[in-house]
Amino acid sequence: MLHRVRALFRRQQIDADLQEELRSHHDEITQALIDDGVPADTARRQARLRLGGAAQIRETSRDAWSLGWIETWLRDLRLAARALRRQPMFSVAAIATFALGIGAATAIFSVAYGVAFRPLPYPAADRLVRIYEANTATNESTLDVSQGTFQGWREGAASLAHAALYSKGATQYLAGANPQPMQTMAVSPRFFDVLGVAAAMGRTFKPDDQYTRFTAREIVLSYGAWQRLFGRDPAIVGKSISIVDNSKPIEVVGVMPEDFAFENVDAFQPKPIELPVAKLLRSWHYDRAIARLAPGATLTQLRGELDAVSTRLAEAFPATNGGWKATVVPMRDAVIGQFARASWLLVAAVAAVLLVACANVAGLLIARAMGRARETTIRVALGAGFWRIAQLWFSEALVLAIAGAAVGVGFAWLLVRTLRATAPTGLPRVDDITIDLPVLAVTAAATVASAIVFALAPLAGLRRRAHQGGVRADTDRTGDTPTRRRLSSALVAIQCAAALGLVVLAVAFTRSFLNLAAVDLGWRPERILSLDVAPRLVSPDGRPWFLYHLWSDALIARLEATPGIEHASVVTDVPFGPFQYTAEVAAGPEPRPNETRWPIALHSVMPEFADVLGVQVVHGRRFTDTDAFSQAVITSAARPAGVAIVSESLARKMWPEEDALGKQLHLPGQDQSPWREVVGVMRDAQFREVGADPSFDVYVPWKQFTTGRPRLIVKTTADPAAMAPAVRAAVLAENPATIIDRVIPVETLYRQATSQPRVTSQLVAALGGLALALAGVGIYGALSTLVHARAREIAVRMALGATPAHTWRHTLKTGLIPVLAGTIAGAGLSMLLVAAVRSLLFGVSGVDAWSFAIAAAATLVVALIACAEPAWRAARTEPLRILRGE
Amino acid sequence: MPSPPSPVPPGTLEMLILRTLDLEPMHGYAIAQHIHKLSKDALKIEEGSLYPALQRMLAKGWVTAAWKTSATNRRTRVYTLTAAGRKQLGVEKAQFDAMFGALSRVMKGIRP
Repeated sequence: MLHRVRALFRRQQIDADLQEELRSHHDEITQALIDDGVPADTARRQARLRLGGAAQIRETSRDAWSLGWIETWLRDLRLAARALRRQPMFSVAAIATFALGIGAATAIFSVAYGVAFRPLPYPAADRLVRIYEANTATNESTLDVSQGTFQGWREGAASLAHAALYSKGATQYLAGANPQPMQTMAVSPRFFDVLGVAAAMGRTFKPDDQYTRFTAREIVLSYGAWQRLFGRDPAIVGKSISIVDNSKPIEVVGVMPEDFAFENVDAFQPKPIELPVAKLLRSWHYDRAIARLAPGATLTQLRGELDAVSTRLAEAFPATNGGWKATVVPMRDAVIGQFARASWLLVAAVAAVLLVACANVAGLLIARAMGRARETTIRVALGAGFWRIAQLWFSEALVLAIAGAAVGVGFAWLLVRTLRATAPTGLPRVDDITIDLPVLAVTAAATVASAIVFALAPLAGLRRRAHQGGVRADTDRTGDTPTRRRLSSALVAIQCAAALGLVVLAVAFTRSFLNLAAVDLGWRPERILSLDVAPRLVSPDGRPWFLYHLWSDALIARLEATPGIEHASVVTDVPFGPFQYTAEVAAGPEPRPNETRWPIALHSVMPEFADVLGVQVVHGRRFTDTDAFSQAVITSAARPAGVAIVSESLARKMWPEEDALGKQLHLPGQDQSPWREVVGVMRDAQFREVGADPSFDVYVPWKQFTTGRPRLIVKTTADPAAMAPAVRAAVLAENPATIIDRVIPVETLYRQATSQPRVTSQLVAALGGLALALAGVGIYGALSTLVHARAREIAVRMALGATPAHTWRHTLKTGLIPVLAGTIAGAGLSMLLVAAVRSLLFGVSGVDAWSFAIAAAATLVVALIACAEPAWRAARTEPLRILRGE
Repeated sequence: MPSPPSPVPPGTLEMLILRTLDLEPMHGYAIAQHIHKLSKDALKIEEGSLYPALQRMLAKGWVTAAWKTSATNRRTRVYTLTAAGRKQLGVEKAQFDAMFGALSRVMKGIRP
């Protein structure tokens, strides 16, 4: 078989060899005869007779290399390619149209596949789940997990093969002359068992009970970190590294495989779970839980078991577990979450674009079939059956489709490259977006399917003609059969319907995004620069908090004296940034049994915070410089009560119908103050998700809740990115050893947080535009063909007295009827579409009159423009010239 | 006077060529001559079947062909048996033996 395929490419060589061989054979016979004493010319004649027809031998020999039907087919493809080359205008139009459709489809599918459909990089990843805690009081279902409750799950749920906890990632700095930032994550030792991935070098962590807070001095590197930070040191395992702010050496015990990735983490550290302590930690919802289902276990089973555990825990520990349940989400949904639906939507949208492109090319092929009616008639007359012609036309369709796909994949490659370069960092798994084998397989399948559609369209008209047999004159010569005419109209209607559906979606998504962009955040993200600042403040007694207060005061004063800076504040977290403190709050100074606790986001801020973000205290007062613990307080062990500001929604929840001012609250287990008095109520602000329900926020003064890894937010008068060097200089002037990281404008973070709706709306809008443009071209092509095919009919009508105006109207009507039918069908279709994606839309109701009106108007205007020119051409028909041309 | 040479029985031409090439590589004319002589002039290979057969065998990868210059300083195309060809010869020979044995048993009237 292989020989024969190879032989395809050197047919001529084979034939030439054979010819020479036969000549040589002829010479041998001649020589033999001469040797026997036959005269030379007689010998030559006899030899020629013996060899018989050399041509026939060659012909028979050629069959030896035949590949049967494949060869016939390849011949057809060559024939088709030649035929298409003869009509370059048609071919370029068809190839370009299909290339746009298939290119867009390939690009979008590779995005959707990379982001949402590609399996996670872990073995049997469909068995992985994330488990969250859910609070029935606040109706939040995906909260972080407490260690005590997690232990309860592990002991009570038989459906769990392995379960592990991990912390939110953190940035640490590799000690050295130039401290390198490194994304680290503390994971409980079973973490890698859950994911089912072993180290590529060395090992991962040892089973659970081996680590305590004091002995957990091991680290596992990601392949990327090993490459980037340690220059692929082959002997890294066993070496010790040290981390800034952490004097004790840490041993590298392993390096993960290259294809392993988890939330962009560079290095994993063991998270010791000391059972006796962990069981007490039921109200610290700090950790994230991941688990692998036991073989044969189902999600439903696991949910049932966890419900039972939750009920038991709530009875045993009403103070900490009352009102808490567990939520199980497949890992895949947790990772790609909001992107899955958007991905399906985009795939559906691009399939619609491809449909429009296919209908368009099918229309072109029908036009072409009409144009070559005479050729077909001759073929039929010469004995070509329906299937023979079908095969030939399918070959042509396939050549077009393959050429279009080749151009389209190139186009998609460019698109994907651009998309990856400009992709918002909020998009998960951006690096997984490539045009690779699975994507190309889908493209190939779509291409062949499209070719079948292309080929079927003109064939529909052929069936009847094949029966008619003979060479009929007139309409036959234009191939303008009723079947084809109906089909052509149907194709126009399909294009209109699909285009309208997409345009409705595009309008709906654009409006949704505009709504989202117009959401009042409760603060203003413009002109704010944010950065991580870790100053090195050395204090002899190991309690450097007071130094931090001195540092922050001096730094803010220095920054606010810098030209171009309006305000600055040290904070513990930045809006839409990482490091959110999640905690719980309860009313009253003392914890009480069965108290209601509200999950909140905790923000430790300086008074200037309100100026930087533009948040407003609507009731009570803002923080002042006197909201601080003194040096005396800090150096003593005792902690006095502090103050707090709460968000409006939280105030309403905690003290309905009452004034929150003067009320007391406590943050169980994690505050630097036993309880706090509410001194102000802040306007609700959206710091995490735009357009979400108002979150509950508690603000505490920085000098009553100080941490060593603060962040800095700076309000500038102009472009915040341009102020980065000045801010950096000021920070280093204040404390030269400060590690600065993640210098980024808050507006950029905000844009990242809204990347999914933005990207979705932009892509849907682009696809809608593309579909509309293609449909316009398709409508134009169909009507042009019709006018051309009916030139004679029009000429006769006009010769009989039809005016140009009448002809214009008549042609326009002919063109617009399928458009109207398609528009009506499209309206129905888009109702369904919008209803199906309602959950992705923000502030746009399912049946949205405006979107429909705008989209229908756009479609009709495009259709009208597309029909006007052919109609005008029809109206200018000069009857005499056409009729004489017979 | 021997009887005039008859064409080879159908289906055996390729086996005969394989067997011939198993002795040594040779060109088309030599193959025909060899079979003709070895059969004591009883078998005659038609050029019209020899060359198509050789092409089929090339396509199947049983033989390879190379241009060589012969002792008489003539360019000839010499065919060589490949491993696949040698294997095929074994198969055909076994089939032939079985068939020949069956035929002769029937003709001699031997009971099994």
